[in-house]
Amino acid sequence: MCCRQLKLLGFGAVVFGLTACTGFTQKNAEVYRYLANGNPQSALLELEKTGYWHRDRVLYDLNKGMLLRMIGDFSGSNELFESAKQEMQGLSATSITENIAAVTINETSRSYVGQPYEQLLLYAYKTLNYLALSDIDDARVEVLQADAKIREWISEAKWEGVDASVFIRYLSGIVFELSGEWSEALIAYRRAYEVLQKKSVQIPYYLQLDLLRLTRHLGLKGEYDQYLEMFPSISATEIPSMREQGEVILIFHQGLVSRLFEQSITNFSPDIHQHLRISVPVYPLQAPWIGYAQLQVADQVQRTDILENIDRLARENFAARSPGIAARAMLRVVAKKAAAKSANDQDALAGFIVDLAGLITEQADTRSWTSLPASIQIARINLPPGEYRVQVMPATNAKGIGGFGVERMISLAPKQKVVVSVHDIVN
Amino acid sequence: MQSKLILLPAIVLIGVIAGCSTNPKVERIAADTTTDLSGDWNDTDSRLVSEEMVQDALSHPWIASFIRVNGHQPALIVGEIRNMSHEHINVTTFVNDIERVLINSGRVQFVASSNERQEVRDERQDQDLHASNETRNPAGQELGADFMLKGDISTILDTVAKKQTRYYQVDLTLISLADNRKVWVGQKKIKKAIKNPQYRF
Repeated sequence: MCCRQLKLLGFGAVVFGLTACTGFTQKNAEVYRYLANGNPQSALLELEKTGYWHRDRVLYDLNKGMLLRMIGDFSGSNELFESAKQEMQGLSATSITENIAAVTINETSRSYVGQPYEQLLLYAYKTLNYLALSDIDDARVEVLQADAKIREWISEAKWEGVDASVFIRYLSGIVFELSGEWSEALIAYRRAYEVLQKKSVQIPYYLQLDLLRLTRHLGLKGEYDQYLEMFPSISATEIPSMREQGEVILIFHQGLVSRLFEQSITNFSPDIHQHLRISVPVYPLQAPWIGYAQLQVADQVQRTDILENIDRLARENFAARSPGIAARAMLRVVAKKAAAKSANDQDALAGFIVDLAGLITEQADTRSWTSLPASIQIARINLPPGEYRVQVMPATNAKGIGGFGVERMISLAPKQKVVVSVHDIVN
Repeated sequence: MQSKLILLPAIVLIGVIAGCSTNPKVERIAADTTTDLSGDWNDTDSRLVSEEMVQDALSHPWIASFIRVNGHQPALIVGEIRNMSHEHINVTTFVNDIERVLINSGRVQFVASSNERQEVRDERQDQDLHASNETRNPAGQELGADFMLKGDISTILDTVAKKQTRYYQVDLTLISLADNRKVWVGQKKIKKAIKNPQYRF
């Protein structure tokens, strides 16, 4: 076989290999459609049917783990999440071949390792699964691992992950409270507060209350007075006593995070007599609708408050990555055109095939953890010990609310905290 | 040079595919071989810590004092050993290792844990109904524990970029069930330095 045929064969392999897998958003469109219609069971079957390309193993595990969680298989969900976590750790080292492929073939040649906010939410959902299984110690392990991850980012001055840590910090506070570690809980709530303050985001009502409640409980008078001054909407009489009362905590996972789509520009350049194509991922302009829930226990009703706007985190993350994506897209065009020109100089047919391969393999990386909610919200109600009916329902009847309703009986002892986690995935 | 550039994507693709299409290779090794793969708490840590801590517990004078006063070997029970570390440690394996070393020492007696006891009681209840008089084991003859072993496993991590130091501390306490006295407090520390690779193929 002559050299020319070998080259053509090589490129044939590239084109075949990379066109065999369509874009992530396209490939998983059905999964997303089932999910957006509030049918995680069918979405799961569809996802299993669709399978995954080895580079997307992490994403497959994350999405499957989330779908299993939605249908109540918390142990199965954690097995998948653990697998995703191990895979992420293995992929955390920079791959030389994948980076070369990203600037010569396309960005999807890289293994998906998860964006910092996704990595933290992986810990969060594993924690929530353990809480659903009443396994506080293992939930505690997850929040400690998340803390270690955040500290690693701080040591490397990678602030994006740190800025996306509000929910995991807050959840750590809940886990430490469940474990009876009040000072650890206060530290976790403080850290959530510090991130929100840094981002100039309004402090959720429940976080204000938690900071006041715990500083008073731990006898930190100076800090308590400071918070009382900073949160004028809360009066001292509103702050619940931690010794006699139990608490119901609602964690509400609302909607679905936006998906990335591919945007391609194809043009024929008369100067070099070749086609130019650039593909980049884009988010739809409109962010998902944010709906609230209300938690009702006995005669108390509380509306949820947004703790983490995941959709905003995803868009901020993408905005930060965009210049790099654009630069690599330009580099790819140059590399592909140089290869096509070189082939064309030797043989017109080879040049045509190389040019075609360059066009076909140009694909935007639209991968992201698409089964995440658009926002995570919180509501808390303190109650004296007793038997209660807990109801979670939409806060308004406005269009767009999923029309979900959750009801369950709980038994509450003094100092006991019951965590109720509800997904409303219908956007 | 330019012709080499043409083959680059194909080489990269083959490399990516080849790197991900390997079958697992299985090799049987001795159960006491030290295999530090990830740096996490493993079977070697569990075995070494349990052996060293039990040796330490048995070398202290509380056993001799107990035998002198009561005239028989002390009966022990393992209470809660909490995992307070950053890792999902299988505490059951660790507890089993401790029980094994203690029982095999021949210096103490061991009482079944609360879960195990319930199963045995159910069986005894079943014997009451179905076993012959000669083989039936009556209720109310259980050996009560004299001491409870409690403790926790905790960690301190120090991480900078890809380098990490993991410090494990196992604290065990032996408490007298008669008067809540702590008769022995043991501590074992392990420190590991882990360096994760910065690059991969």
